[in-house]
Amino acid sequence: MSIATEKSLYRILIVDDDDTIRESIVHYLENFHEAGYDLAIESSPDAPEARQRIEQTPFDLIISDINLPHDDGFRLLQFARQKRPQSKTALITAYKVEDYVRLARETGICNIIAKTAPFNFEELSCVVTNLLDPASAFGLKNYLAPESQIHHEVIRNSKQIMETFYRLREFCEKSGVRNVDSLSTALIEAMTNAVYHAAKLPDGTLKYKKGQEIEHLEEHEAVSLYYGRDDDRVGVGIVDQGGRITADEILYWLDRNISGAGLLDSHGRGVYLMHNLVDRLIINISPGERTEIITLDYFSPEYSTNKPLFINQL
Amino acid sequence: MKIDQQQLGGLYTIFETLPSGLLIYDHDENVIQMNSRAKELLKIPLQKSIQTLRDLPDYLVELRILLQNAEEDIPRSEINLLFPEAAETSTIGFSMKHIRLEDTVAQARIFVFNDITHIVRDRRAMDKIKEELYQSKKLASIGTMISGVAHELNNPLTGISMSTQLTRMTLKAALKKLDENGNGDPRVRGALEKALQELDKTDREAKKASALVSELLNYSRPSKMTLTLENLSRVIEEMVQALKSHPDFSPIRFEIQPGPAELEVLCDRLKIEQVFYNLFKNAVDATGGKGTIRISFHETTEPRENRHMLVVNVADEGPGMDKTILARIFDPFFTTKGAEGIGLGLSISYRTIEQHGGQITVDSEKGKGTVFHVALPVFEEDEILI
Repeated sequence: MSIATEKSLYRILIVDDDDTIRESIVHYLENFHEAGYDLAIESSPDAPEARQRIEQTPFDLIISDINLPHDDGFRLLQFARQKRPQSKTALITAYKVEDYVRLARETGICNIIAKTAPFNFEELSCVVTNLLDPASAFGLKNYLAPESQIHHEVIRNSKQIMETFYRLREFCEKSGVRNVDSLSTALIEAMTNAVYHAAKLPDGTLKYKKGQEIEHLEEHEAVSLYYGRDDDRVGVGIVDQGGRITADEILYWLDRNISGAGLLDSHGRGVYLMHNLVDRLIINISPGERTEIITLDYFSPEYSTNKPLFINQL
Repeated sequence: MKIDQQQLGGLYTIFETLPSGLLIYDHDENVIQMNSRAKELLKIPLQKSIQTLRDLPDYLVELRILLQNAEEDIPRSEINLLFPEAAETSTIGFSMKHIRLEDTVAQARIFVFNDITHIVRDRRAMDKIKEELYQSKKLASIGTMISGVAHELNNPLTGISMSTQLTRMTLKAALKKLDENGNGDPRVRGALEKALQELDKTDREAKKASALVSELLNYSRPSKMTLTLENLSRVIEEMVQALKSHPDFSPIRFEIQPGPAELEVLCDRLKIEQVFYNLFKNAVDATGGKGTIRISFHETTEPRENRHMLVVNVADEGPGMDKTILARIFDPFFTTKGAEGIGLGLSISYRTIEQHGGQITVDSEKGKGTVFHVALPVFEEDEILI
């Protein structure tokens, strides 16, 4: 005998003027999105109708196309959050996601899904789960097939950065990552940043200078490294216990490098390099607690072109 | 008939001070008048007397034939002459008119000319600049168009992909149901499996289309650059070193004359490597994978903005190209490789080098191989960044 528990119900609105795409997203979420909650999904082909629905229903999540007839998704989502600040929002576009980073920063939208062929439904599922239940965005295991083996190492001094990196690189090579050099560049950047940027003095300045030898990191300064693979991809997670960077800062540095303004300063280049060099970059921030950088590299080259934007801040 | 200095009177002074060469002669090829400037322009010593056209030096044979055969007036024309010990031909611009001299019945011809070699050279340079501008404008407008088309294609392709995936998921769920019930009609099962196979075909075709679309998007929207200061000569030497072990390149010989080590170029190293990779790959394809690729460097000054440029020359021993192919090699979708290539390599390279403030040009002749010249601005210490 089982006790019936009431599952929570989330309301979602999908806005896209392309009928096939809109209906497919609804169809997928209704039938194939696995979660411990129920979804009530509505959809709308244009902004005026979407606005009406938003007026009537307190949606938990709204996913909108960017280019809508007579309107754009940024404005629609801003309207939705004015109505109901706790609504979660994401955009979807067939255009280059990079081109929208500035607008994303101005409107505080941290998730942009790329319309690609083949379309990555798993990723859509992931964004929906992460937005509805932000805690589930954390942890590499959520991005790999269930039961995938995940290695865990802890970096406690500066020498261990390179030692763990070489093991990680070997793992990537053996797993058959398409471009190990690119991934390595991104990872070494992320690992050194995690070690040297997370630890700060009470006055907010960096405790350690980049490149300086650190004999022993305090327990709360140690950086964790996770890596694993499944049939489709290799995933790496780099977790510090600082949680000091904000989504806004990340978007600022991304935009600065995309627009070319930051081309010649090294600050903030890391996050842009990572965004460019890996197939998927997911940044999870739990303010004051931890920052988690997750990279996913697919064995198939299909997902390497238009890269989505995934930043989750608790 | 000969008109002497006295007969000409004041005219003589005018003739002598003319900034152009002047030659008056009659039907019998007798030279009536030739000013000093004419001798100077034609490299004839001033003291040498020219009585008839036949006295003109041998290297002026083409000019002599022209003068002898000019039955009609020639308002404006040019002739190229190669003077002794000159490396290149000089261009002489001239007018020729039939005149009737006062007090005589005889017709004479007056030939006025000047050296316009430098004007022609400037004009050619100008034409070249115009052509480059045209090429770059053409590419930019094609780029805009492609970008629009590619984005419009991306939407329906995403739709196709979504729909096939959902159909597949639905069919698989149905098959699973049949398994669970254990009583499926084999014909139903067969039909479902056949439908799944058909979906694979749709997927394969859609994948081809989307690969093309992403290539188009990459072409139309060159991604932003990550600039670093690089020693170009070293970048290429390292590249060649790495390529030697690559199966496509191992049969070919590379010959490098290293460039000036002190010159640096501000560039996106990955993109520059991509350009040279394209050039090397083309050279390999052109030579059928054999022969030598010769790489050399030289410095030059870019005429428009007077910038110091470092030029990399990549020469192959392939069959070369004729003018019609040469005129189109930087155009997108132009390929000589048939189904092997989609014809974006050189076009992308052209834009990459242009983005770096440089230029890529090509010299080729049928049967004589091809040389690409990639010019990039040298980084000067006093250049202000950002």
